[in-house]
Amino acid sequence: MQAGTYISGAGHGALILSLLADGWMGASPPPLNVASVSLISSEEFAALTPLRTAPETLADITPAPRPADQRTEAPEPLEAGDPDLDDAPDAPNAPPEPEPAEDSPEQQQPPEPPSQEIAALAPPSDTPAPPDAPRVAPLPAPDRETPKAPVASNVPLPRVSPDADTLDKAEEAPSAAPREATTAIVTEAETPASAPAVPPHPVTRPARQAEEPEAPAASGIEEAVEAAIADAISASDAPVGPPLSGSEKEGFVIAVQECWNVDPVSEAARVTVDIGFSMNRDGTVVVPSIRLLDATEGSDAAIKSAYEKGRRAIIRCGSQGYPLPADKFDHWREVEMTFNPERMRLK
Amino acid sequence: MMRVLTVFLALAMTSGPVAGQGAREPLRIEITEGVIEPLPFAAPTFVPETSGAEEMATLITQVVAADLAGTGIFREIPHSAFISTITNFASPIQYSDWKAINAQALITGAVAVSGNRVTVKFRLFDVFAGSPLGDGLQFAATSTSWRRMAHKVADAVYARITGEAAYFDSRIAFVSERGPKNARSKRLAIMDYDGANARFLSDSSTIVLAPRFSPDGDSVLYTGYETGMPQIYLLNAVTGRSRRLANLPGSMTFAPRFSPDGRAIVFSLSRGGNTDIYRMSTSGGAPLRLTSTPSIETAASFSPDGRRIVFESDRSGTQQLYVMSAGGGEATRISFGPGRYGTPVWSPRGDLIAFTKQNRGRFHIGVMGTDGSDERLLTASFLDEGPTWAPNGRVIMFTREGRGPNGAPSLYSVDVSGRNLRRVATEGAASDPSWSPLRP
Repeated sequence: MQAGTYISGAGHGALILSLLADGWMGASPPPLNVASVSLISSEEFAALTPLRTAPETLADITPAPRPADQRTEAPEPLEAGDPDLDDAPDAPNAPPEPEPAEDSPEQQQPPEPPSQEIAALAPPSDTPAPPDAPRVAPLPAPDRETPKAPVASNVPLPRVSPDADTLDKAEEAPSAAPREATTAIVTEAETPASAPAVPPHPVTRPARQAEEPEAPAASGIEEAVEAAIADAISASDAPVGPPLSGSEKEGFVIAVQECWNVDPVSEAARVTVDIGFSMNRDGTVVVPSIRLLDATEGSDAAIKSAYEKGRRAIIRCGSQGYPLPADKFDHWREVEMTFNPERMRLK
Repeated sequence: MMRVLTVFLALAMTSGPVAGQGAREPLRIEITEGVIEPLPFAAPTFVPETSGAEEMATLITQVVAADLAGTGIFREIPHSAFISTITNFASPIQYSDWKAINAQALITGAVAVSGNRVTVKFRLFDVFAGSPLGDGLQFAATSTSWRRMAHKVADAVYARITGEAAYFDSRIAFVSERGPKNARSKRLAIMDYDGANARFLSDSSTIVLAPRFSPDGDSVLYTGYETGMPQIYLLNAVTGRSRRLANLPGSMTFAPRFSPDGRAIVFSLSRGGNTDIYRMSTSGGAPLRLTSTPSIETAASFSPDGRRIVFESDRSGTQQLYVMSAGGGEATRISFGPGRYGTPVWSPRGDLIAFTKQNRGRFHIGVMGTDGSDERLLTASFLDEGPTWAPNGRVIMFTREGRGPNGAPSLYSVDVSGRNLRRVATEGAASDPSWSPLRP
């Protein structure tokens, strides 16, 4: 899995570098910034002022004219102060929806975009780019909606509360894929190996290039950037957000140890076992995932007993879900638990 | 400029994850504290599969439950708390019903009676894992052996849950006593580990002491006074016949114990006021003297591997424990605490030595490491003595006698941790227990 991502990263990196070099070599220096400053003369400003009668008060309050002037070069109605909006001017045909820009910072959370689900729900008769479509969501929104049309009637695209809406409506529609499909898509999105295998952009990119042939270099960079971002998102196994705090870990420990029944006289009390298991987001344990990872020296029977005791503790005290923060799920999705009875042992 | 920034951002995004591939590390937690409590189990009455098997099914279930609960490791959930009933041995288990009453283990079984033959089968389930714990097992025997079948079931359950051998299908040889302290009759007797099926192996015509089971459980060594002097006898527990070992005129022989392979015994021989430890073959021959000091050496016990012997001696001026090679030679003192130590017995596991200790007017049963380390006293009373190990090495049975002329001896057992002290049910007074190995 890592190898695939490394290969993907290297490939895209090379592509980015080549495009970067090409962009620097071929593209003209950006005079726009300087020109925009010089263009803002007092006359122009005065000419513009009547047009903006309403914002006058705002102009008085904040020194906004300079950024506003810079954006006059790119007349898109992009106003938010989000730094990620710097990408937006490169897509002049993007509809004036604020959502792409809003979604962009959340791109590192794969399950979020509803378009993912649509791609998954759609039968594989369309262009086979299901896993990558969502990651390009911020830029080619109009193009992407076209292939999704057949399913869009069942699962609406609005990105507000994607989980609840899309799932409910998917159930209502008899022709829609069952819920498992949606779940599976999330899994695919999290599988880094699938990302580089599918060429994501040819489906949408040619259409955009046809509409905007004037900036081939820019679109190339964009494409590379998109690909890199998409890969980065898909390949990222790193947990998002802060790790568990000490008290959260301690709470987990206390919850388990209440069910860890140690027989201090037994041979099993001389064996330390490492047990691995997966967790559900609600804090319950994926029971079939419980497995013995390692054990210190002991007879097979003692190791088995020590493992059973640990497993029983994990299951029993986790039957109602462990008190773990759901927003840090990535940090406790997989657990390796060591049951060390040394302090309990009868010496 | 914007493009450069964009590319820069992209590179920053890509480089992070790529460099940190596989960064999703599992959460690592170490549990070092747990609880010590009996494991709750449910044992619904076994299903009678033939007419007339109802009573047998009930009895067998009760014995299984009593065996397990008697260990202190398990706790039986009363039947009144059950939500489900088991009416068919083959029916699927409603785990949720048993989880609801916090049963961690569930034992189901069925009993069939056909003439004089009883068949018992059982299954064990890990309730919270929602799966069977091992395969089902079936035992068949005559109806008179129904208790043994119940013990076998309990043994299997115990072994599957704890990972250790059990001790329910075992017996105790002991001395049954009658009468007041100054005129007591003593008879050799044998019973199940739980006090059931007791029977006498000798009459009350002579005094008998210190029975010791052979490693195969078929024979019992003991000290008898048939000749007026203590002598060692070997009794066949099946036929009831006994013969004298170590026929040494003018000598007293006592405190015998088998070697782990059953081919030899060690015992004490007292001659001319000096008591030493000897070894001899069970098939006869001349005894081999293992100690030769002017002090009293007695109560020898082999290590499970047969290489060493622990015994008591007053060679230091006070009664202490020593360990030496099974062939004799230099002995190493292992007890150094206050008081006097005696009747050492090596654990079947080989890691501990049980002993009797007398200190400040109190008697104790205790255990220590084979080098004398980690001494731990398990009991304290007016008179505790003569420990014997359960076959799995985690329970000790001993004699406890009350104060005064009417203080009759009785048998007690205690976990090697010192917990679960309980009296063993015997008919009348009993002393000098010896635990047999697990029966085949």
